[in-house]
Amino acid sequence: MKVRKNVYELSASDMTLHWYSKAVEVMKQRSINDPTSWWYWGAVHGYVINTSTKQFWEVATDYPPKQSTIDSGFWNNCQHGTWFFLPWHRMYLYYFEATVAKAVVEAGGPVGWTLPFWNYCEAFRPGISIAEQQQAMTIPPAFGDSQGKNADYPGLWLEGRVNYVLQKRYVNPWPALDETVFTNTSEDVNFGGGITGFAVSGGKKGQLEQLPHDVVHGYINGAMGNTKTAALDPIFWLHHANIDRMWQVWVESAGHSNPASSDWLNFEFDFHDENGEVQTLKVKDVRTTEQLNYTYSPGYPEMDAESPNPPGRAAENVMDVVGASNINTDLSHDLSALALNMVPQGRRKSRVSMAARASVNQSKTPKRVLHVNNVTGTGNPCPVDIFISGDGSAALDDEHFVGSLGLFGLEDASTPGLDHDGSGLSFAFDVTQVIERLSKQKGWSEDKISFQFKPQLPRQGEKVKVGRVSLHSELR
Amino acid sequence: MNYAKTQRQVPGAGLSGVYTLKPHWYLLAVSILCWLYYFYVWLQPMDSHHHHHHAHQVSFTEQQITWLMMVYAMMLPMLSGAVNFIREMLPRYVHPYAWLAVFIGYSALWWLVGALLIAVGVLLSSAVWIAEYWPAWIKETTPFSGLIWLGAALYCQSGMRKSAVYACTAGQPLAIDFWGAMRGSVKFGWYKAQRCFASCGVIMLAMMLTGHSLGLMLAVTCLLLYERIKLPKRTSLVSAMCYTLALFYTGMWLI
Repeated sequence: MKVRKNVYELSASDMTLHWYSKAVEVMKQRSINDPTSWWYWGAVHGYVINTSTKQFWEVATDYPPKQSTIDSGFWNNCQHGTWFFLPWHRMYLYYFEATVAKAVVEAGGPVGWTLPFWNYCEAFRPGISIAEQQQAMTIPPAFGDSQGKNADYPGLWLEGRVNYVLQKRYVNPWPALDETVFTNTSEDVNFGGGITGFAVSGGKKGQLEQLPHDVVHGYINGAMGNTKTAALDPIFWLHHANIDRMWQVWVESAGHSNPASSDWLNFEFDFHDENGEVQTLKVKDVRTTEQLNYTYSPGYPEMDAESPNPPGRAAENVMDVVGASNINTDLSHDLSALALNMVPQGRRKSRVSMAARASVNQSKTPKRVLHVNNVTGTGNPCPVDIFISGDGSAALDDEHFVGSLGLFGLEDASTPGLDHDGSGLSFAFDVTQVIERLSKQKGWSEDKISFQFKPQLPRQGEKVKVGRVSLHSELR
Repeated sequence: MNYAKTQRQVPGAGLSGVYTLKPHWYLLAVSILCWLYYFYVWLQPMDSHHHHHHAHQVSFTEQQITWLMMVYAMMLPMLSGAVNFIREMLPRYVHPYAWLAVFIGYSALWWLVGALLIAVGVLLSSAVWIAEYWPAWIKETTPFSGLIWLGAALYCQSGMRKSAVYACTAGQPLAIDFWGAMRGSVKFGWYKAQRCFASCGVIMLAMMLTGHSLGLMLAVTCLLLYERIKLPKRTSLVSAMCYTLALFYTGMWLI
């Protein structure tokens, strides 16, 4: 069985990245119409020509691609905002790894090349030093740095990355790994995404897709910040190997299980293998890495805590909207504040604050979920951090931090087309703990709840608009 | 055990579960009622059926009812996503009003389309030369029905139509104050109808112009539903159906 290793734990004599670089160069020489070329593999994830993407595609061998290739049904197939996000990307990595392994052999390398993973989540390992945290969050040096390419690994460089060192709050694995269910049909959050059909931008992101997946894409930015170019960056594949590993960690943790629905299990996706032959896999063929004959070397996090839910239980918390912002707010400023309009007390089926909970002496904290819907815009903006306030202030600190909008695929999701309905991106955050903590402080009032939206970097002309922010609370 | 009491103790359980967790039930009920009516008419003896159609001049209202029944039978199941969206996005106390508002907005656009079609029909039938000679001339000299379905097939294969099918699933932000929610829901229903018309209107018009059996109507509805679930990237059954009908009608014309 193949073992995918942490890229920072490869030994000095290990040649994995050397041969990866060589294979990328080999694959880049192949025609964009060739199913084993670097360009074709990038386009399977996404392909479009516009001002944001043209620079990455026009250097492709035999560009522009044949219309028959574009229309083949194999391009623009990435699954996002859906419960197929994880299985589709697992299949994608599997056939990509096989294609690179074959290219490695053709370049004179050994048989059995294996894709490494970039475990930025190591930054959250308890007891780790600041220097070790920084290393874990840094794009491996072989891929270049802000000064330019690493001459020893020219194939791993791509022009245009904005950030080479991630921020700690962008690599937190726990909002995802703490989720107890893979999917659900309510407004509650989940691990793996909402129930959809084939969905390039399905609007029902799971927690793992939101963080760290989307935010890492958006923060590195450049090609990585756009679904239509992301897979052209060699770091894409190491990032996704880590996401794939986290799915396996989650499944192996007590009380967690993949969906049992035949709609999920029997859904099929087509890919090309290393020989350019069409292969079909069902989701049930990729529920675990062992089914595809590979595994991951041990790494943080490894979750072995008991889940509060029995295995396979669907967390169908019935929720109600308790407040929402005005609709269609421009977020193109350096700091935007959105106050919630609360549902009148007498009409509210759910209550938000701890004080209300205490008054009825309930033992279970009601779950609260923040929804940010219909986020639309242009360009590849960097992530936007969200902070909550319940006293009219605008504190932008960890205590008030709710989560980040990783705007990966924003422009694409905002454009009606053959793969999207154009209604933009949607996000959901579990804000139970932060509201519970803040509601104990003096001055907190649920009728004064507001949210501050702060872009991580100043805007470079990108436009971002949020359709609506709403707070949902578990029905009691 | 007092069952009724237990039901009330569980949020969203019992009748309120049907009401809030499966809010699309009323759309399905209206659609099923329309289908039951069609089957009832179909089961009537042919003589009384024909007598019913030719006994009197069909009024505008009757034509509108016929048109909207066809819309409700074929299209309402596809509005399920919209009412679920309302359930997720609006406070529970406005749900029943908002669902009605979506239905009103949705019906309003289809009513307008129906009125335009009826008006065009009246204009054509009032022009004596067109009414007397043109339909017969067209049907004798061209594979009229075949061409109509060929046009529908080409439209179904176009990017414009595929985009329209995707757009059917789009949600939009809604205000939560009562009247804001009502206005937003009516608009939402109207937009949904626009998208439904852009994706399925051509097929419905083709059926109207070429005539259709109940079986064909049912088959088309099933295919449209299947396509909505699969999305056009994963199936081309609808355009295949249109091509098949184009071939069938052309063959019939040749014979």
